[in-house]
Amino acid sequence: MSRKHHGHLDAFDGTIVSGWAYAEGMGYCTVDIFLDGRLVGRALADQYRADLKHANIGNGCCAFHFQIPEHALTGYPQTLSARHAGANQELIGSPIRVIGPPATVPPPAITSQLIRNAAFSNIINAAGPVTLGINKIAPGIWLEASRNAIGSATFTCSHFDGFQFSRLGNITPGIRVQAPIDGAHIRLFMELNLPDFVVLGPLTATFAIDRRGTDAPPEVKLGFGTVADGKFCGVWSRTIKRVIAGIQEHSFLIEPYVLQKLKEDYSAKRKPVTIFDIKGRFDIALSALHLLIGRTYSSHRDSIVAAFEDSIVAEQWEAIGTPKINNCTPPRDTAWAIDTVLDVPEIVVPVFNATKSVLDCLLSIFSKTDIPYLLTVVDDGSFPETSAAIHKAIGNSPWCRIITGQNEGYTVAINKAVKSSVGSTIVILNSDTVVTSGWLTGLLRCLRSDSKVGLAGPLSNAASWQSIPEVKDKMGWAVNRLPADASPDNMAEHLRLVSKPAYPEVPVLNGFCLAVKREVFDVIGVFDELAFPMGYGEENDFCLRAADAGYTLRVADDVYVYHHKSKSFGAKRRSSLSDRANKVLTHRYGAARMNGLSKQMEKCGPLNDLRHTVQAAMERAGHRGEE
Amino acid sequence: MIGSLLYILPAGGYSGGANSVVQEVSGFLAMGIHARIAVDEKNFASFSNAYASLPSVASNLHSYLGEASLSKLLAQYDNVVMTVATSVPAVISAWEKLSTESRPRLFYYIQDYEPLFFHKGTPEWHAARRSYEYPLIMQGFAKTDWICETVQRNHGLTVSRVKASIDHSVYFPLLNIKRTDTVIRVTAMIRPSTPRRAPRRTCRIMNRIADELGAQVSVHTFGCTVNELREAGLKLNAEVTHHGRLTREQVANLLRRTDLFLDLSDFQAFGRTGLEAMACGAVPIVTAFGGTNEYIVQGANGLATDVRYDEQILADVRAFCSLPESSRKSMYLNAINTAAKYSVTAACASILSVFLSG
Repeated sequence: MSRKHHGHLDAFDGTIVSGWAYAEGMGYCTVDIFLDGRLVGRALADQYRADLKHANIGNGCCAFHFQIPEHALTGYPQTLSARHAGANQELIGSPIRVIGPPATVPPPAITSQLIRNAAFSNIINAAGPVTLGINKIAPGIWLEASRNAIGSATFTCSHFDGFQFSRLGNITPGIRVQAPIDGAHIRLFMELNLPDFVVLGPLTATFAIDRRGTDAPPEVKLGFGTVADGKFCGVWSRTIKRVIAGIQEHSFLIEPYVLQKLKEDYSAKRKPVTIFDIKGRFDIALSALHLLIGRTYSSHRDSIVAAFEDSIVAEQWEAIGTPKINNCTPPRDTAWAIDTVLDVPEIVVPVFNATKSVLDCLLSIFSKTDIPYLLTVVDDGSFPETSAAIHKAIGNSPWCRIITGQNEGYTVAINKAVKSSVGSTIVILNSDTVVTSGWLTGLLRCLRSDSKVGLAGPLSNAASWQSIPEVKDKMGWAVNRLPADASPDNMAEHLRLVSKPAYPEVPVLNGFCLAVKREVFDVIGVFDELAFPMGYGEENDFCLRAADAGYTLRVADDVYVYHHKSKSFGAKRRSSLSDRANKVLTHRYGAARMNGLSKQMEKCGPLNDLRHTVQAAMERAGHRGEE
Repeated sequence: MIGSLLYILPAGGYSGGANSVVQEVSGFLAMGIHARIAVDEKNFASFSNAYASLPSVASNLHSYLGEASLSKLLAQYDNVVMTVATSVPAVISAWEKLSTESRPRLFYYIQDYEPLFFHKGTPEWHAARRSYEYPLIMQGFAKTDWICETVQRNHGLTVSRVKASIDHSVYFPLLNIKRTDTVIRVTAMIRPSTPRRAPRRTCRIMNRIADELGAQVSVHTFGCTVNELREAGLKLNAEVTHHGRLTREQVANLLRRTDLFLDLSDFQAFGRTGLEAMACGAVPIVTAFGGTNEYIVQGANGLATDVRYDEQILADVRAFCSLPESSRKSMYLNAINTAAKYSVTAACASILSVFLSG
């Protein structure tokens, strides 16, 4: 058994043979079934079995069951063999000796095979010949052949986005090239649409090849370069020396300089292109090329088997002119493409319903954040309307991801995001906030003001000790509604004008907007989701653990983030959660330390001074009433 | 008002398209219009059996064999409606044999985009495509925008839009039999003989739902015999209850006890069973490809999903199962409300308006 192919022939019950077959990085496997060396059928290993999933074999969807045609069983001992189609390798446990019931009907000719979902088998010949020189086959796609009558090309995809970040739209694999003569050489060029956003870190190029036929394996080279005046200038390439038969997925790492170089050349009026350089005698189909942020992209593996089941539908769907799907939520990856840390902050927004507040929050992030960032929205089991609104707001932005799941509570939601995050700084932001211009830059400035700073938080209208201008009122913690004629940005501007950033050190920070250096999570772990599953108390516990580990906590006293204040729970439930959290914290850290926190915060000179100044500035500005 | 009416339906019955014709013919009969169905001799017995419970239709069927017999039949009616693409050339040929004065008016009830039933380039595929290419002889009508637009875009045939119908005497809710415990009943139809209905995907997903959601769900399938499953290399887990082939009354009964109905077909021109499930008070998750947006209001009365992605389907199922009971109830009611708009009378009236304008 080769390194990549796995499988087992599990059972034969007299008529049905069962087992599983799986190949890393490839689509569903096909298994050839032989009786006494004669092919009697072909089974697709695409069915689900819980035991396979629990054994971590694929995602469990690689089982097959195949009913042996009655006429093939003689009633005498026979050799039953199951082999990986294409690779022609026996599954483990195969062959076996079997005795089936004798045939009761005369054997018809074996003409049909069980091929129902071979992902690429749908591309049939509607091909045009490829002639010497340039052959334009679709807008932005052309072939260059080394000689005349070299073969044919089929193009079935009306939109081929060479820089395809989203899987949506990649409805069918696009191109099949056939060159049935020895020594053929075809170069396939596709115009490349460069992204207009900054790409940090490496990319992975992923595509699939389906090679048919039994000729000697051809060579395929993937490259990027530019074209001007009919001349190609290569920037980067990788070669697959021998393309094996069947469907296979290939991934190559592309360092950022490649993209940078293409962009430079693009501005110098050279056209960036992707090139597939194919040599040998071949019949291959190529899928759309995906360029994905990051070093690896394991979640992409599923996409190769994501297809229509009926090859007839797959073959024609796009051609009939309705490639777009209807109003469904597009699939989005929940895993970042990166397995290393990127030097960009990652904003984490846990969401549970309250569509309007969430949209306000996301919109403010999009419009008020002036540096590159990653955004992770954790949809903690919201109603479909909220989920749909989040997907719509985020669209296909590759720097954003959505983690969806059942409602498991605030703390579980943020931990889920933190555990799979890749940003160098994690900024946890409640979904009932509105950020203001320059907020993220300000938070990072505070966080980087000293190597010991581990956590930073902004000022707000409603963030307990970080509230301005009032901390408390007769109802408890002040909410400081904005004056009717003021916006969060006005408040941020007032603050910037009067604040002389001192970044005061504090013992705890409010969790509504909390910037945390990644190393803090590495040292003290994530939030305690067992003790504080629904939120309330988890940030105080986290702050105290960070302080105990030697990190300092500072307030970014020149940054303002507006807080609508808790939309997820009613006042009664909030109070009960808060009481429970206080009990746990007192038990953990002692009453003296917990009581001391309030006193320390009350006496925080720079914050108290700032509150007075802000109040005075607002009065001077003559803001009227509350909103 | 419009004269007599004959539907040509060379099919064995049981399909969504055949159901639709049968119930609309019943509707016309109830309106006092002389309406009949003609079935080819090959399918006649099967068709008669399928609709034995509707004597007004089943006892008045015509059968035909060959062009001469079809011509004779056409000559007896004022309006003839073709319903199956591959039979259109034969009907037109039989029609052309008639003298001008005995020719009925021809209409084409396009219930699906049938080239998608056949491999490209095959004789059937060409025949299906040709069926849309007689704009001067016939007038087309269809029940979804998707069909109208697809035919118009690919063949230039203008297709009038009519309303769809479901049989509310069969597909109706009985909310008092819905389970009151927290177990969510998930149901799907598996048709191994029709690849576009994605039997392998459906089987795979139902097994995964049964395994991954465990006691939270009760998983049911129907639509084929156990032998048909075996022959197709499909095996349902022991936790999945397979009900075999069901009559439409039995289907309705199962759907009434269903909370979530899955139609994971590659595409659906309309997706009748999804709407019938709604009429029975179940929330459907249907393919987003084709005409299902005719009745699905995303997240309100059902979900349309990109069926090419197993994970997306499962995420939608999990999302539904994790909804609070109150939200699910509101979706059941929205579904019933949507389905209630698809009455036989409204559908017949919309088809009559095509006949009158033709």
